[in-house]
Amino acid sequence: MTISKNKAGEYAKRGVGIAIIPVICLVVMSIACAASGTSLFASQSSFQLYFRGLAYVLLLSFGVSINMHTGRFDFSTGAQMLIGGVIGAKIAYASGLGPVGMILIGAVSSAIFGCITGLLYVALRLPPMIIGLGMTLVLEGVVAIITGGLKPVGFGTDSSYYSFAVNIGAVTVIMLIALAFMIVVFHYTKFGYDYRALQTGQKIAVNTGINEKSNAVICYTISGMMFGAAGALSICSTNGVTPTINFSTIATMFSCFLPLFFSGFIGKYCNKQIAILLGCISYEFIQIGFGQISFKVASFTSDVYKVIEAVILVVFLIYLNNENKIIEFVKLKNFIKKRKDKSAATEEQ
Amino acid sequence: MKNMKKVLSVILAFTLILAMGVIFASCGGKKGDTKIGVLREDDSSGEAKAWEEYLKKMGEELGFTVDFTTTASSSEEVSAINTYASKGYDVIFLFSDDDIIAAVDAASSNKMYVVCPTGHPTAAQYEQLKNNEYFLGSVAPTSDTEYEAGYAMAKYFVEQKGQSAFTIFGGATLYGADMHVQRLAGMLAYFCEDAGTSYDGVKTREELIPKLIGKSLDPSKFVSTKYRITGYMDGFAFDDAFSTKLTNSLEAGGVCVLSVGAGDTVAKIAYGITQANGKVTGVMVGGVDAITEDYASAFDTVYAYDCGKFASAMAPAVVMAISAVNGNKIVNSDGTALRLGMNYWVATSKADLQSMLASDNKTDGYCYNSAVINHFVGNTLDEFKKLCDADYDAAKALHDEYNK
Repeated sequence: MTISKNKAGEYAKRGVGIAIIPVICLVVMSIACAASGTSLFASQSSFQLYFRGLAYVLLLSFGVSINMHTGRFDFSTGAQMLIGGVIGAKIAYASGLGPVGMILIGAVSSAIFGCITGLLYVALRLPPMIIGLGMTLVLEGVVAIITGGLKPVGFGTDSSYYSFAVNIGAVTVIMLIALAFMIVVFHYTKFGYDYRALQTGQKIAVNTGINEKSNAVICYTISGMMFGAAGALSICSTNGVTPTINFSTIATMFSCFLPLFFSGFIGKYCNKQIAILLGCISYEFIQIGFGQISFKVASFTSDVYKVIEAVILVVFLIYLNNENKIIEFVKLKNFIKKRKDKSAATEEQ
Repeated sequence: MKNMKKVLSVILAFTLILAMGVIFASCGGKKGDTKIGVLREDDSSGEAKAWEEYLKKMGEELGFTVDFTTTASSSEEVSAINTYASKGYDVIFLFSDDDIIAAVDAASSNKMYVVCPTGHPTAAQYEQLKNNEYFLGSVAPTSDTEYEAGYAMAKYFVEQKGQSAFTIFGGATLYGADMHVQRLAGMLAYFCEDAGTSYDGVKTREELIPKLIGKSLDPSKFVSTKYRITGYMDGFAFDDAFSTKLTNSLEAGGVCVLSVGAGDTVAKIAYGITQANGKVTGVMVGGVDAITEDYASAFDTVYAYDCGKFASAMAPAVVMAISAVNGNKIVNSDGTALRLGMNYWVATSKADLQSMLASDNKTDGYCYNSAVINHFVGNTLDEFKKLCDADYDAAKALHDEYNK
């Protein structure tokens, strides 16, 4: 009876832990939108944009999480996205392969560039940040060459690419495939076990015979694949792109930080990949909400909501780093303990 | 073996001499009397590339050397100027505007002329620079030109296209970028000519600008019995929030999108929304940006109006530079440096744009080619102003006149 009661309590705690951030984001943004005279999902288009943004940020977050969670900070994320998207767009548009072909070509191309980045990291033994910055310059340069000097890449009058990006069914399939892939690869393969072993203790893992170099190269390759798919989807979303260089791609990766930090909390209660999905779901509520509010409230400009987003990120990081202290404070644990100790001491006297 | 070494040595020596000869010959071929160093921040946009091609082509035809350096800060500008000075350059074209005073000081201390071909110094900066003998001046669209560009675009869509509901993209208005503020003020000023229309209680350019600069536009403050502004966006992050606002605004009926910049990007997204969303029809986008090849394809989608600078827009700067180097500086009547406006070209169809591009490109020849430039070099200020003030038709007339 006690065991089943404990289990029920455990499940309830898990359920709350998993749902709390998405629910808070949904409720807070719904209230904020209502207070601004609009609603979070004002029309069918809002749902389309929500799912489009969710698919993009999910692919990006999956890609970034792979290296970031093993202590590698890859600055070439945006450049890999751009080059994958551009190659995918150029080949798919020229050969009539359509958006699915574009995403596949983008994913494969960026996987190759990711693999090269990984090989350089392993071969040169330089810090990942340095390798990332170097690769950013190289990849941006390659983009400049293949676009004939940064000429805009687009699809002319072919609207199937944009239509695909706002097709809820299509992007849901992409998300499910990406999620299933990440769960299988990182939780049900030898590579995944090795990855997690290296994540928790590299020295011990290497001593047990795990090849950390090949693991790192595979990580970079899978990351690249995710970035390529995200880049292709991003270009579909804006119906084309005008490439820019000189490290301008670096900032792209920062848009997935908030969902990843959300997932850091959610991940304590469920599978890490599911947690990333839930983090992205939460984040996208904020994004769509900001769009709806700024449509109604002129002073709520793009700068204002970027500041708010940054504040949410910082506050959340503060919480994650001081979680125990905050919980103790909220539950008044120390206060109650002191009172108990005091009353016990009084009774003894 | 010894002979073999000798033969190899002779072949190597001969190859070296030949290579040196080729290098010197090629240098000699490109080298002209005048050397111009171009400092720019943007080296990748369509107009930046068009200007680069134009200057290189004119360099070949008129016999001057031109070199380009991309800078990102004032210190980089000064460093690049000093480098050009050490290589014997005569003129700096300053496209960037990090610190124009520091750049002109660096150039003048090296006895190099400076021309600003894409923007103007502020009034205070101009006062500081106008008597500097090495500052030749600036020739670029003025605030008035920008205002007129916004005004003319709004007028075109109302009077020629019968539009009354608008979505507006204000670019960097929020950050106080003068050219975007002026263009936006121009649009609003046109709408406010209607008796029943005002923005935040005001109607004229002078009143509108303080209401917009650094504050953006609030559609709820736009009161009109004739027009509607259904949505406003600014910034250059074309993210989910941007798409949400644009979609909402288009769905609310504001299908005529007026853009102060990045019109091609706005048009691409608007076109996608139109095609994917059955509720939105009849979208058209107008923008002030550049007359370049990139915009021709935008006309295939929902882009309907393009206003901007063109490849030959560098011609006045070239005229000023060569005139000064030849000892015939073009200056104001009081001897101060120039501060002249430059007109935009306007295309309202793909055919218009292609015709402009056909008359102003590297392969078929530029509108302001060497013959036109030669006419204006060392000429009077009044004559020079004709070159700067010309719209497309006037520019073509100038081309025809001096290429008979």
